[in-house]
Amino acid sequence: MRKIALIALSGALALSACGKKQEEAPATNNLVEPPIENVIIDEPDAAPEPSQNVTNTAPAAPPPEVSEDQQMLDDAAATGMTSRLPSQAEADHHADEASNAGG
Amino acid sequence: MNRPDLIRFSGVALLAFAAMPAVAQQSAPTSILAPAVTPAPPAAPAPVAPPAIVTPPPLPLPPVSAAQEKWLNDWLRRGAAEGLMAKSKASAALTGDALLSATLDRARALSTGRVDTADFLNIWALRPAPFDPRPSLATAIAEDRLPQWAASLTPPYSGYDGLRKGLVAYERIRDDGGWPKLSADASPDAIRKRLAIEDKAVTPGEKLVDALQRAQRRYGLNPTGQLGARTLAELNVPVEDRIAAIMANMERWRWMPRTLPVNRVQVNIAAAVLTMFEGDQPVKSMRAVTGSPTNQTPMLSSSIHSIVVNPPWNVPASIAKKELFPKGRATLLKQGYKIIGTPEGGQRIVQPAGPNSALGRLKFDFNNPFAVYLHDTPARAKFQSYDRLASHGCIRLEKPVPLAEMMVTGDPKLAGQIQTLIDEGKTQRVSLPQQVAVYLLYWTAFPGSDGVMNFRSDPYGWDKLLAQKIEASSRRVDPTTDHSTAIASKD
Repeated sequence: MRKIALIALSGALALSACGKKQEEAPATNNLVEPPIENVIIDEPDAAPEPSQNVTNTAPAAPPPEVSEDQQMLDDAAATGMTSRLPSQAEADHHADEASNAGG
Repeated sequence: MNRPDLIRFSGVALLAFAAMPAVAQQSAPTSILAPAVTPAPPAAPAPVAPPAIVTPPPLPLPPVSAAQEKWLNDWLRRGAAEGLMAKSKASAALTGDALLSATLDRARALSTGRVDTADFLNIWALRPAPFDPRPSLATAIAEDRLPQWAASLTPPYSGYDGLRKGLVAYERIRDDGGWPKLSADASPDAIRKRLAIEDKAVTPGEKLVDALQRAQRRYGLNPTGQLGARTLAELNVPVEDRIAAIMANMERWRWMPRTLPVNRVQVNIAAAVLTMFEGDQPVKSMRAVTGSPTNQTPMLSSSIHSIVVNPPWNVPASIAKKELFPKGRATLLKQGYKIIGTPEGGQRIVQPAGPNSALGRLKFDFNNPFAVYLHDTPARAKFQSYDRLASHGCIRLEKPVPLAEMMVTGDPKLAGQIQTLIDEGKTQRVSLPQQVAVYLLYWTAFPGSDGVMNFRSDPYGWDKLLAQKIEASSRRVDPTTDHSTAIASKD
Protein backbone atom coordinates (compact mmCIF):
# COMPACT_ATOMS: atom_id res chain seq x y z
CA MET A 1 0.00 0.00 0.00
CA ARG A 2 2.80 2.36 0.98
CA LYS A 3 4.62 1.45 -2.22
CA ILE A 4 1.57 2.38 -4.31
CA ALA A 5 1.22 5.66 -2.46
CA LEU A 6 4.87 6.46 -3.08
CA ILE A 7 4.53 5.71 -6.78
CA ALA A 8 1.42 7.90 -6.98
CA LEU A 9 3.19 10.70 -5.13
CA SER A 10 6.26 10.58 -7.36
CA GLY A 11 4.00 10.57 -10.41
CA ALA A 12 2.14 13.62 -9.15
CA LEU A 13 5.42 15.41 -8.47
CA ALA A 14 6.69 14.62 -11.94
CA LEU A 15 3.50 15.93 -13.48
CA SER A 16 3.63 19.13 -11.45
CA ALA A 17 7.22 19.67 -12.57
CA CYS A 18 6.18 19.34 -16.23
CA GLY A 19 3.33 21.71 -15.63
CA LYS A 20 5.61 24.23 -14.04
CA LYS A 21 8.02 23.98 -16.94
CA GLN A 22 5.22 24.80 -19.33
CA GLU A 23 4.32 27.87 -17.34
CA GLU A 24 7.83 29.23 -17.40
CA ALA A 25 7.70 32.28 -19.59
CA PRO A 26 10.05 34.87 -18.17
CA ALA A 27 8.82 38.31 -19.00
CA THR A 28 12.28 39.77 -19.31
CA ASN A 29 14.08 39.26 -22.56
CA ASN A 30 17.28 40.42 -21.12
CA LEU A 31 19.72 38.08 -19.99
CA VAL A 32 21.18 34.68 -19.76
CA GLU A 33 20.17 31.45 -18.23
CA PRO A 34 21.66 29.12 -15.71
CA PRO A 35 23.78 26.31 -17.09
CA ILE A 36 21.79 23.53 -18.62
CA GLU A 37 23.06 20.23 -17.36
CA ASN A 38 21.07 18.07 -19.68
CA VAL A 39 20.13 19.53 -23.00
CA ILE A 40 17.35 17.61 -24.64
CA ILE A 41 17.61 17.89 -28.36
CA ASP A 42 14.23 17.41 -29.92
CA GLU A 43 14.82 16.64 -33.55
CA PRO A 44 11.74 15.09 -35.09
CA ASP A 45 13.53 14.85 -38.41
CA ALA A 46 16.08 12.55 -36.87
CA ALA A 47 13.36 10.14 -35.75
CA PRO A 48 11.78 8.68 -38.88
CA GLU A 49 8.08 8.10 -38.64
CA PRO A 50 6.56 4.85 -39.85
CA SER A 51 5.84 5.09 -43.52
CA GLN A 52 6.06 3.21 -46.76
CA ASN A 53 8.18 5.93 -48.19
CA VAL A 54 11.64 4.76 -49.13
CA THR A 55 13.20 7.95 -47.82
CA ASN A 56 11.78 7.24 -44.37
CA THR A 57 12.59 3.58 -44.06
CA ALA A 58 16.22 4.17 -44.98
CA PRO A 59 18.51 5.20 -42.12
CA ALA A 60 19.37 8.86 -41.80
CA ALA A 61 22.02 9.81 -44.28
CA PRO A 62 25.31 11.16 -43.00
CA PRO A 63 25.41 14.94 -43.14
CA PRO A 64 26.52 16.28 -46.51
CA GLU A 65 30.12 17.35 -46.73
CA VAL A 66 30.30 21.11 -46.73
CA SER A 67 33.64 22.85 -46.82
CA GLU A 68 34.41 25.46 -44.19
CA ASP A 69 34.47 28.17 -46.84
CA GLN A 70 31.11 27.09 -48.26
CA GLN A 71 29.61 26.97 -44.77
CA MET A 72 30.85 30.48 -44.12
CA LEU A 73 29.30 31.71 -47.37
CA ASP A 74 26.02 30.01 -46.44
CA ASP A 75 26.12 31.57 -42.98
CA ALA A 76 26.94 34.98 -44.46
CA ALA A 77 23.90 34.62 -46.70
CA ALA A 78 21.79 33.70 -43.69
CA THR A 79 22.92 36.69 -41.67
CA GLY A 80 22.16 39.06 -44.55
CA MET A 81 24.11 39.48 -47.77
CA THR A 82 25.38 42.96 -47.11
CA SER A 83 27.83 43.06 -49.99
CA ARG A 84 26.98 46.24 -51.85
CA LEU A 85 25.52 46.30 -55.32
CA PRO A 86 27.38 48.55 -57.75
CA SER A 87 25.93 52.04 -57.65
CA GLN A 88 24.27 53.50 -60.72
CA ALA A 89 27.37 55.58 -61.44
CA GLU A 90 29.57 52.49 -61.17
CA ALA A 91 27.20 50.52 -63.39
CA ASP A 92 27.23 53.33 -65.97
CA HIS A 93 31.03 53.40 -65.80
CA HIS A 94 31.28 49.64 -66.36
CA ALA A 95 28.82 49.89 -69.25
CA ASP A 96 30.91 52.63 -70.84
CA GLU A 97 34.07 50.56 -70.43
CA ALA A 98 32.37 47.53 -71.99
CA SER A 99 31.13 49.55 -74.96
CA ASN A 100 34.60 51.05 -75.49
CA ALA A 101 36.34 47.71 -75.20
CA GLY A 102 35.12 46.59 -78.60
CA GLY A 103 36.71 49.50 -80.41
CA MET B 1 53.24 42.09 -18.23
CA ASN B 2 52.10 45.64 -18.47
CA ARG B 3 48.74 45.80 -20.19
CA PRO B 4 47.23 49.22 -19.77
CA ASP B 5 44.22 48.15 -21.85
CA LEU B 6 43.13 45.67 -19.26
CA ILE B 7 41.21 46.61 -16.23
CA ARG B 8 42.07 44.08 -13.60
CA PHE B 9 39.80 43.52 -10.69
CA SER B 10 41.40 42.96 -7.32
CA GLY B 11 39.75 40.71 -4.78
CA VAL B 12 38.19 43.69 -3.04
CA ALA B 13 37.05 45.11 -6.32
CA LEU B 14 35.58 41.77 -7.28
CA LEU B 15 33.61 41.65 -4.07
CA ALA B 16 32.37 45.12 -4.82
CA PHE B 17 31.58 43.99 -8.35
CA ALA B 18 29.65 41.05 -7.03
CA ALA B 19 27.84 43.29 -4.62
CA MET B 20 26.58 45.47 -7.39
CA PRO B 21 22.96 44.93 -8.20
CA ALA B 22 22.13 42.60 -11.06
CA VAL B 23 21.07 45.47 -13.16
CA ALA B 24 24.65 46.68 -13.13
CA GLN B 25 25.36 44.16 -15.87
CA GLN B 26 23.39 46.39 -18.12
CA SER B 27 25.61 48.70 -20.04
CA ALA B 28 23.82 51.86 -19.11
CA PRO B 29 26.32 54.12 -17.38
CA THR B 30 25.78 54.66 -13.70
CA SER B 31 26.57 57.98 -12.16
CA ILE B 32 29.33 57.88 -9.59
CA LEU B 33 28.75 61.44 -8.52
CA ALA B 34 27.39 62.27 -5.12
CA PRO B 35 23.66 62.78 -5.12
CA ALA B 36 22.92 66.24 -6.31
CA VAL B 37 21.57 68.61 -3.74
CA THR B 38 18.30 69.97 -4.89
CA PRO B 39 18.86 73.68 -5.34
CA ALA B 40 16.35 76.17 -4.16
CA PRO B 41 13.98 77.00 -6.94
CA PRO B 42 14.96 80.25 -8.62
CA ALA B 43 12.63 83.15 -8.64
CA ALA B 44 10.00 82.56 -11.22
CA PRO B 45 10.91 84.44 -14.35
CA ALA B 46 8.38 86.49 -16.16
CA PRO B 47 6.43 84.27 -18.54
CA VAL B 48 7.80 84.36 -22.02
CA ALA B 49 5.76 83.26 -24.96
CA PRO B 50 7.36 80.22 -26.60
CA PRO B 51 8.84 80.96 -29.98
CA ALA B 52 6.46 80.21 -32.77
CA ILE B 53 7.30 77.01 -34.60
CA VAL B 54 7.74 77.98 -38.20
CA THR B 55 7.43 75.10 -40.62
CA PRO B 56 9.28 75.91 -43.78
CA PRO B 57 7.20 75.53 -46.90
CA PRO B 58 7.91 72.29 -48.72
CA LEU B 59 10.56 72.49 -51.36
CA PRO B 60 8.79 73.20 -54.62
CA LEU B 61 9.11 70.51 -57.24
CA PRO B 62 9.76 71.48 -60.85
CA PRO B 63 7.02 70.70 -63.35
CA VAL B 64 7.36 67.27 -64.93
CA SER B 65 7.51 66.81 -68.69
CA ALA B 66 5.08 64.55 -70.52
CA ALA B 67 7.79 61.90 -70.85
CA GLN B 68 8.59 62.14 -67.14
CA GLU B 69 4.91 61.89 -66.30
CA LYS B 70 4.61 58.69 -68.33
CA TRP B 71 7.77 57.25 -66.75
CA LEU B 72 6.58 58.00 -63.22
CA ASN B 73 3.18 56.41 -63.87
CA ASP B 74 4.85 53.29 -65.24
CA TRP B 75 7.17 53.21 -62.23
CA LEU B 76 4.28 53.53 -59.80
CA ARG B 77 2.61 50.52 -61.42
CA ARG B 78 5.74 48.42 -60.90
CA GLY B 79 5.49 48.34 -57.10
CA ALA B 80 4.94 44.58 -57.15
CA ALA B 81 8.52 44.02 -58.31
CA GLU B 82 9.75 45.62 -55.08
CA GLY B 83 7.45 43.54 -52.90
CA LEU B 84 5.12 46.42 -52.13
CA MET B 85 2.00 44.70 -53.39
CA ALA B 86 0.96 41.22 -54.39
CA LYS B 87 0.29 41.98 -58.05
CA SER B 88 0.76 44.92 -60.35
CA LYS B 89 -2.18 47.24 -60.19
CA ALA B 90 -3.89 48.57 -63.29
CA SER B 91 -4.53 52.07 -62.05
CA ALA B 92 -5.50 55.25 -63.86
CA ALA B 93 -2.67 57.56 -64.88
CA LEU B 94 -1.98 60.32 -62.38
CA THR B 95 -1.06 63.88 -63.16
CA GLY B 96 0.01 67.04 -61.36
CA ASP B 97 0.06 67.08 -57.55
CA ALA B 98 -1.54 63.66 -57.29
CA LEU B 99 1.31 62.15 -59.31
CA LEU B 100 3.99 63.93 -57.29
CA SER B 101 2.33 63.00 -54.01
CA ALA B 102 2.13 59.33 -55.04
CA THR B 103 5.74 59.48 -56.18
CA LEU B 104 6.91 60.85 -52.83
CA ASP B 105 4.90 58.20 -50.97
CA ARG B 106 6.42 55.45 -53.09
CA ALA B 107 9.90 56.84 -52.54
CA ARG B 108 9.40 56.76 -48.76
CA ALA B 109 7.96 53.25 -48.93
CA LEU B 110 10.92 51.96 -50.92
CA SER B 111 13.50 53.71 -48.84
CA THR B 112 12.35 53.35 -45.24
CA GLY B 113 9.39 51.00 -45.40
CA ARG B 114 5.69 51.50 -44.91
CA VAL B 115 5.32 51.27 -41.15
CA ASP B 116 5.81 54.38 -39.05
CA THR B 117 8.58 53.77 -36.54
CA ALA B 118 6.13 54.87 -33.84
CA ASP B 119 4.26 51.63 -34.61
CA PHE B 120 7.36 49.45 -34.22
CA LEU B 121 7.62 47.01 -31.35
CA ASN B 122 10.12 48.22 -28.75
CA ILE B 123 12.39 45.33 -29.59
CA TRP B 124 12.42 46.29 -33.26
CA ALA B 125 15.17 48.68 -32.29
CA LEU B 126 16.72 48.68 -35.75
CA ARG B 127 15.02 51.78 -37.13
CA PRO B 128 15.33 53.39 -40.55
CA ALA B 129 16.86 56.85 -40.64
CA PRO B 130 14.38 59.64 -41.44
CA PHE B 131 14.22 60.27 -45.16
CA ASP B 132 12.77 63.20 -47.11
CA PRO B 133 12.64 62.27 -50.80
CA ARG B 134 11.58 65.74 -51.95
CA PRO B 135 15.04 67.33 -52.49
CA SER B 136 16.42 64.40 -54.45
CA LEU B 137 13.22 64.15 -56.50
CA ALA B 138 13.43 67.85 -57.35
CA THR B 139 16.99 67.36 -58.57
CA ALA B 140 16.07 64.23 -60.53
CA ILE B 141 13.23 66.01 -62.31
CA ALA B 142 15.38 69.06 -63.07
CA GLU B 143 18.24 66.91 -64.39
CA ASP B 144 15.93 64.41 -66.06
CA ARG B 145 17.42 61.48 -64.15
CA LEU B 146 14.33 59.82 -62.73
CA PRO B 147 15.41 56.18 -63.39
CA GLN B 148 18.70 56.75 -61.56
CA TRP B 149 16.85 58.44 -58.71
CA ALA B 150 14.39 55.57 -58.41
CA ALA B 151 17.22 53.01 -58.43
CA SER B 152 18.91 54.84 -55.56
CA LEU B 153 15.91 54.43 -53.27
CA THR B 154 16.09 50.71 -52.58
CA PRO B 155 18.58 49.06 -50.21
CA PRO B 156 21.90 48.77 -52.09
CA TYR B 157 22.64 45.24 -50.90
CA SER B 158 22.82 41.92 -52.71
CA GLY B 159 20.60 40.39 -50.02
CA TYR B 160 17.74 42.69 -51.01
CA ASP B 161 18.44 42.16 -54.70
CA GLY B 162 18.37 38.39 -54.17
CA LEU B 163 14.97 38.67 -52.49
CA ARG B 164 13.72 40.74 -55.41
CA LYS B 165 14.77 37.94 -57.77
CA GLY B 166 13.31 35.35 -55.42
CA LEU B 167 10.02 37.21 -55.44
CA VAL B 168 9.88 37.01 -59.23
CA ALA B 169 10.61 33.27 -59.11
CA TYR B 170 7.99 32.50 -56.45
CA GLU B 171 5.34 34.64 -58.09
CA ARG B 172 5.95 32.66 -61.28
CA ILE B 173 5.53 29.43 -59.30
CA ARG B 174 2.29 30.78 -57.84
CA ASP B 175 1.02 31.84 -61.25
CA ASP B 176 1.83 28.35 -62.58
CA GLY B 177 -0.38 26.81 -59.92
CA GLY B 178 1.99 26.47 -56.93
CA TRP B 179 2.94 23.01 -55.69
CA PRO B 180 0.89 19.98 -54.66
CA LYS B 181 0.64 18.96 -51.02
CA LEU B 182 2.91 16.03 -50.30
CA SER B 183 1.95 13.20 -47.98
CA ALA B 184 4.34 11.20 -45.80
CA ASP B 185 4.07 8.23 -48.17
CA ALA B 186 4.65 10.23 -51.33
CA SER B 187 6.56 8.39 -54.03
CA PRO B 188 10.18 9.30 -54.71
CA ASP B 189 9.15 10.71 -58.08
CA ALA B 190 6.55 12.96 -56.47
CA ILE B 191 9.07 14.20 -53.91
CA ARG B 192 11.69 14.82 -56.57
CA LYS B 193 9.17 16.72 -58.69
CA ARG B 194 8.18 18.85 -55.73
CA LEU B 195 11.78 19.66 -54.83
CA ALA B 196 12.58 20.61 -58.43
CA ILE B 197 9.99 23.39 -58.36
CA GLU B 198 12.20 25.42 -56.03
CA ASP B 199 15.60 23.86 -56.65
CA LYS B 200 16.61 23.89 -60.31
CA ALA B 201 19.67 21.77 -59.50
CA VAL B 202 17.46 18.69 -58.98
CA THR B 203 17.97 16.27 -61.87
CA PRO B 204 16.11 13.03 -62.69
CA GLY B 205 19.20 10.92 -62.08
CA GLU B 206 20.17 12.54 -58.79
CA LYS B 207 19.89 10.56 -55.57
CA LEU B 208 16.76 11.68 -53.79
CA VAL B 209 18.61 11.81 -50.49
CA ASP B 210 20.97 14.45 -51.88
CA ALA B 211 18.12 16.62 -53.13
CA LEU B 212 16.30 16.25 -49.81
CA GLN B 213 19.41 17.20 -47.87
CA ARG B 214 19.79 20.35 -49.95
CA ALA B 215 16.19 21.26 -49.19
CA GLN B 216 16.65 20.57 -45.48
CA ARG B 217 19.67 22.83 -45.38
CA ARG B 218 17.63 25.55 -47.09
CA TYR B 219 15.02 25.24 -44.34
CA GLY B 220 17.55 25.07 -41.52
CA LEU B 221 16.59 21.48 -40.68
CA ASN B 222 18.72 18.51 -39.71
CA PRO B 223 19.88 17.20 -43.13
CA THR B 224 18.92 13.56 -42.65
CA GLY B 225 17.85 13.02 -46.23
CA GLN B 226 14.58 11.63 -44.90
CA LEU B 227 11.12 13.01 -45.47
CA GLY B 228 10.46 13.61 -41.77
CA ALA B 229 7.55 15.52 -40.29
CA ARG B 230 9.28 18.88 -40.30
CA THR B 231 10.64 18.52 -43.80
CA LEU B 232 7.19 17.60 -44.99
CA ALA B 233 5.71 20.59 -43.19
CA GLU B 234 8.19 22.95 -44.83
CA LEU B 235 7.55 21.50 -48.28
CA ASN B 236 3.81 21.96 -47.73
CA VAL B 237 3.98 25.63 -46.77
CA PRO B 238 1.83 27.31 -49.46
CA VAL B 239 3.70 29.34 -52.04
CA GLU B 240 1.63 32.39 -51.05
CA ASP B 241 3.15 32.19 -47.55
CA ARG B 242 6.63 32.01 -49.04
CA ILE B 243 5.88 35.14 -51.08
CA ALA B 244 4.59 36.90 -47.97
CA ALA B 245 7.80 35.96 -46.14
CA ILE B 246 9.92 37.37 -48.96
CA MET B 247 7.93 40.60 -48.88
CA ALA B 248 8.24 40.93 -45.09
CA ASN B 249 12.01 40.47 -45.32
CA MET B 250 12.27 43.02 -48.14
CA GLU B 251 10.48 45.43 -45.82
CA ARG B 252 13.01 44.81 -43.04
CA TRP B 253 15.89 45.37 -45.44
CA ARG B 254 14.52 48.92 -45.87
CA TRP B 255 15.26 49.54 -42.19
CA MET B 256 18.98 48.85 -42.70
CA PRO B 257 21.42 51.74 -42.86
CA ARG B 258 22.58 52.51 -46.39
CA THR B 259 26.23 52.08 -45.46
CA LEU B 260 27.74 49.60 -43.03
CA PRO B 261 31.14 49.59 -41.32
CA VAL B 262 33.43 47.22 -43.19
CA ASN B 263 34.22 45.38 -39.95
CA ARG B 264 31.07 44.09 -38.32
CA VAL B 265 29.27 41.18 -36.71
CA GLN B 266 25.90 40.15 -38.08
CA VAL B 267 23.52 37.75 -36.37
CA ASN B 268 20.41 36.24 -37.86
CA ILE B 269 18.21 35.72 -34.83
CA ALA B 270 15.76 33.46 -36.68
CA ALA B 271 18.52 31.18 -38.01
CA ALA B 272 20.71 31.40 -34.88
CA VAL B 273 23.85 32.05 -36.92
CA LEU B 274 26.59 34.67 -36.60
CA THR B 275 29.02 35.96 -39.23
CA MET B 276 32.02 38.21 -38.71
CA PHE B 277 32.93 40.51 -41.59
CA GLU B 278 36.32 42.13 -42.04
CA GLY B 279 36.98 44.52 -44.88
CA ASP B 280 33.36 43.89 -45.95
CA GLN B 281 34.09 40.17 -46.48
CA PRO B 282 32.89 37.26 -44.32
CA VAL B 283 35.87 35.85 -42.46
CA LYS B 284 34.33 33.73 -39.70
CA SER B 285 30.94 32.24 -38.99
CA MET B 286 29.49 30.12 -36.26
CA ARG B 287 26.34 28.73 -34.78
CA ALA B 288 24.65 30.71 -32.06
CA VAL B 289 21.80 30.26 -29.61
CA THR B 290 19.31 33.11 -29.69
CA GLY B 291 16.25 34.04 -27.67
CA SER B 292 13.37 31.63 -27.36
CA PRO B 293 9.99 32.73 -28.73
CA THR B 294 9.00 33.80 -25.21
CA ASN B 295 12.30 35.63 -24.62
CA GLN B 296 12.86 37.31 -27.92
CA THR B 297 16.24 38.69 -28.91
CA PRO B 298 15.80 42.30 -30.07
CA MET B 299 16.67 43.55 -33.52
CA LEU B 300 19.25 46.27 -33.03
CA SER B 301 22.54 47.75 -34.09
CA SER B 302 25.31 48.77 -31.71
CA SER B 303 29.06 48.53 -31.26
CA ILE B 304 31.00 46.03 -29.21
CA HIS B 305 33.35 48.10 -27.09
CA SER B 306 34.88 45.57 -24.71
CA ILE B 307 35.14 41.95 -23.74
CA VAL B 308 34.94 40.71 -20.17
CA VAL B 309 37.23 37.72 -19.65
CA ASN B 310 36.07 35.27 -16.97
CA PRO B 311 32.85 37.17 -16.22
CA PRO B 312 30.82 36.51 -13.09
CA TRP B 313 27.08 36.35 -13.58
CA ASN B 314 24.85 38.62 -11.57
CA VAL B 315 21.65 36.65 -11.86
CA PRO B 316 18.75 38.89 -12.80
CA ALA B 317 16.03 39.02 -10.18
CA SER B 318 13.46 37.52 -12.53
CA ILE B 319 15.58 34.46 -13.27
CA ALA B 320 16.63 34.12 -9.64
CA LYS B 321 13.01 34.15 -8.51
CA LYS B 322 11.64 31.79 -11.11
CA GLU B 323 14.47 29.38 -11.69
CA LEU B 324 17.05 29.45 -8.90
CA PHE B 325 15.58 30.36 -5.51
CA PRO B 326 13.03 27.52 -5.83
CA LYS B 327 15.95 25.06 -5.80
CA GLY B 328 16.66 25.99 -2.21
CA ARG B 329 19.57 27.77 -0.61
CA ALA B 330 21.59 24.63 0.12
CA THR B 331 21.38 23.41 -3.45
CA LEU B 332 22.42 26.78 -4.80
CA LEU B 333 25.43 26.99 -2.51
CA LYS B 334 26.37 23.43 -3.44
CA GLN B 335 26.22 24.41 -7.11
CA GLY B 336 28.62 27.26 -6.48
CA TYR B 337 26.21 30.18 -6.44
CA LYS B 338 26.65 32.94 -3.86
CA ILE B 339 23.68 34.50 -2.16
CA ILE B 340 24.26 38.11 -1.28
CA GLY B 341 22.20 40.52 0.75
CA THR B 342 21.02 43.68 -0.91
CA PRO B 343 20.89 47.11 0.72
CA GLU B 344 17.11 46.90 0.54
CA GLY B 345 17.15 43.81 2.74
CA GLY B 346 16.54 41.33 -0.02
CA GLN B 347 18.79 38.72 -1.54
CA ARG B 348 20.30 38.19 -4.91
CA ILE B 349 22.43 35.51 -6.54
CA VAL B 350 25.86 35.73 -8.08
CA GLN B 351 27.52 32.95 -9.98
CA PRO B 352 31.29 33.45 -9.72
CA ALA B 353 33.45 33.29 -12.83
CA GLY B 354 34.60 29.85 -13.79
CA PRO B 355 34.16 27.05 -16.26
CA ASN B 356 30.54 26.51 -15.23
CA SER B 357 29.53 30.15 -15.26
CA ALA B 358 26.45 30.68 -17.39
CA LEU B 359 28.43 33.30 -19.29
CA GLY B 360 31.29 30.91 -19.96
CA ARG B 361 34.68 32.53 -20.29
CA LEU B 362 33.91 35.57 -22.44
CA LYS B 363 31.25 38.24 -22.59
CA PHE B 364 31.10 40.75 -25.44
CA ASP B 365 29.60 44.04 -24.27
CA PHE B 366 27.75 46.57 -26.39
CA ASN B 367 25.45 49.38 -25.40
CA ASN B 368 21.75 48.63 -25.73
CA PRO B 369 18.65 49.22 -23.64
CA PHE B 370 17.77 45.52 -23.46
CA ALA B 371 20.87 44.39 -21.53
CA VAL B 372 21.62 41.70 -24.08
CA TYR B 373 25.11 40.71 -25.10
CA LEU B 374 27.08 37.97 -26.81
CA HIS B 375 28.68 35.41 -24.54
CA ASP B 376 30.33 32.03 -24.22
CA THR B 377 28.45 29.18 -22.59
CA PRO B 378 29.28 25.91 -20.85
CA ALA B 379 26.18 24.35 -22.48
CA ARG B 380 27.93 23.29 -25.67
CA ALA B 381 25.56 20.52 -26.67
CA LYS B 382 22.93 22.95 -27.88
CA PHE B 383 25.13 23.99 -30.79
CA GLN B 384 24.64 20.55 -32.31
CA SER B 385 20.92 21.12 -32.36
CA TYR B 386 18.94 22.55 -35.25
CA ASP B 387 16.57 24.21 -32.77
CA ARG B 388 18.72 26.89 -31.24
CA LEU B 389 16.24 29.56 -30.23
CA ALA B 390 16.52 28.78 -26.55
CA SER B 391 18.13 31.63 -24.60
CA HIS B 392 16.61 34.35 -22.43
CA GLY B 393 17.46 36.90 -25.14
CA CYS B 394 21.25 36.97 -25.11
CA ILE B 395 23.29 35.33 -27.83
CA ARG B 396 25.45 32.35 -26.95
CA LEU B 397 28.39 31.72 -29.22
CA GLU B 398 29.81 28.49 -30.53
CA LYS B 399 33.34 29.87 -31.05
CA PRO B 400 33.81 32.86 -28.76
CA VAL B 401 37.61 32.66 -28.48
CA PRO B 402 38.36 32.99 -32.22
CA LEU B 403 35.83 35.83 -32.40
CA ALA B 404 37.51 37.64 -29.52
CA GLU B 405 40.94 37.07 -31.07
CA MET B 406 39.81 38.68 -34.31
CA MET B 407 38.52 41.70 -32.43
CA VAL B 408 41.80 42.35 -30.62
CA THR B 409 44.10 41.69 -33.58
CA GLY B 410 44.76 45.42 -33.98
CA ASP B 411 46.38 45.64 -30.55
CA PRO B 412 49.82 43.97 -30.48
CA LYS B 413 49.68 43.64 -26.70
CA LEU B 414 46.41 41.70 -26.88
CA ALA B 415 46.70 39.80 -30.16
CA GLY B 416 46.85 36.08 -29.51
CA GLN B 417 46.44 36.57 -25.77
CA ILE B 418 42.77 35.76 -25.23
CA GLN B 419 43.27 32.14 -24.22
CA THR B 420 46.14 33.19 -21.94
CA LEU B 421 43.90 35.72 -20.24
CA ILE B 422 41.22 33.09 -19.80
CA ASP B 423 43.72 30.68 -18.31
CA GLU B 424 44.81 33.31 -15.79
CA GLY B 425 41.35 32.94 -14.31
CA LYS B 426 41.01 36.60 -13.40
CA THR B 427 38.05 38.72 -14.28
CA GLN B 428 39.28 41.48 -16.54
CA ARG B 429 37.74 43.81 -19.04
CA VAL B 430 39.54 44.13 -22.36
CA SER B 431 38.85 47.33 -24.27
CA LEU B 432 38.84 46.69 -27.99
CA PRO B 433 41.39 48.61 -30.03
CA GLN B 434 38.51 49.52 -32.34
CA GLN B 435 34.84 49.08 -31.62
CA VAL B 436 33.17 46.47 -33.78
CA ALA B 437 29.68 47.14 -35.12
CA VAL B 438 27.10 44.48 -34.30
CA TYR B 439 23.77 43.95 -36.05
CA LEU B 440 21.12 41.66 -34.61
CA LEU B 441 18.81 40.97 -37.54
CA TYR B 442 15.77 38.82 -38.20
CA TRP B 443 15.76 37.12 -41.59
CA THR B 444 13.25 34.38 -42.36
CA ALA B 445 13.77 34.46 -46.14
CA PHE B 446 17.12 34.97 -47.79
CA PRO B 447 18.86 33.93 -50.98
CA GLY B 448 21.56 31.34 -50.44
CA SER B 449 25.05 31.81 -51.78
CA ASP B 450 23.82 29.90 -54.88
CA GLY B 451 20.85 32.24 -55.28
CA VAL B 452 18.23 29.64 -54.27
CA MET B 453 15.82 30.91 -51.64
CA ASN B 454 16.23 29.76 -48.04
CA PHE B 455 13.46 30.01 -45.46
CA ARG B 456 13.18 29.77 -41.72
CA SER B 457 10.01 29.44 -39.74
CA ASP B 458 8.83 32.75 -38.32
CA PRO B 459 9.71 31.84 -34.71
CA TYR B 460 8.67 35.17 -33.20
CA GLY B 461 5.69 35.72 -35.50
CA TRP B 462 7.22 39.01 -36.65
CA ASP B 463 6.53 38.44 -40.35
CA LYS B 464 2.81 38.19 -39.71
CA LEU B 465 2.87 41.09 -37.27
CA LEU B 466 4.72 43.25 -39.77
CA ALA B 467 2.18 42.39 -42.45
CA GLN B 468 -0.60 43.44 -40.09
CA LYS B 469 1.13 46.72 -39.35
CA ILE B 470 1.60 47.40 -43.04
CA GLU B 471 -2.06 46.64 -43.57
CA ALA B 472 -3.07 49.01 -40.76
CA SER B 473 -0.76 51.68 -42.10
CA SER B 474 -2.28 51.36 -45.58
CA ARG B 475 -5.78 51.72 -44.14
CA ARG B 476 -4.79 54.93 -42.40
CA VAL B 477 -3.28 56.33 -45.59
CA ASP B 478 -6.14 55.30 -47.85
CA PRO B 479 -9.23 53.99 -46.05
CA THR B 480 -11.07 53.67 -49.35
CA THR B 481 -8.66 51.09 -50.73
CA ASP B 482 -9.91 47.54 -51.08
CA HIS B 483 -7.97 45.57 -48.48
CA SER B 484 -9.54 42.22 -49.17
CA THR B 485 -6.51 40.64 -50.84
CA ALA B 486 -3.68 38.73 -49.21
CA ILE B 487 -2.03 40.14 -46.15
CA ALA B 488 1.28 41.93 -46.66
CA SER B 489 0.19 42.87 -50.12
CA LYS B 490 -0.35 46.57 -49.71
CA ASP B 491 1.89 49.45 -50.48
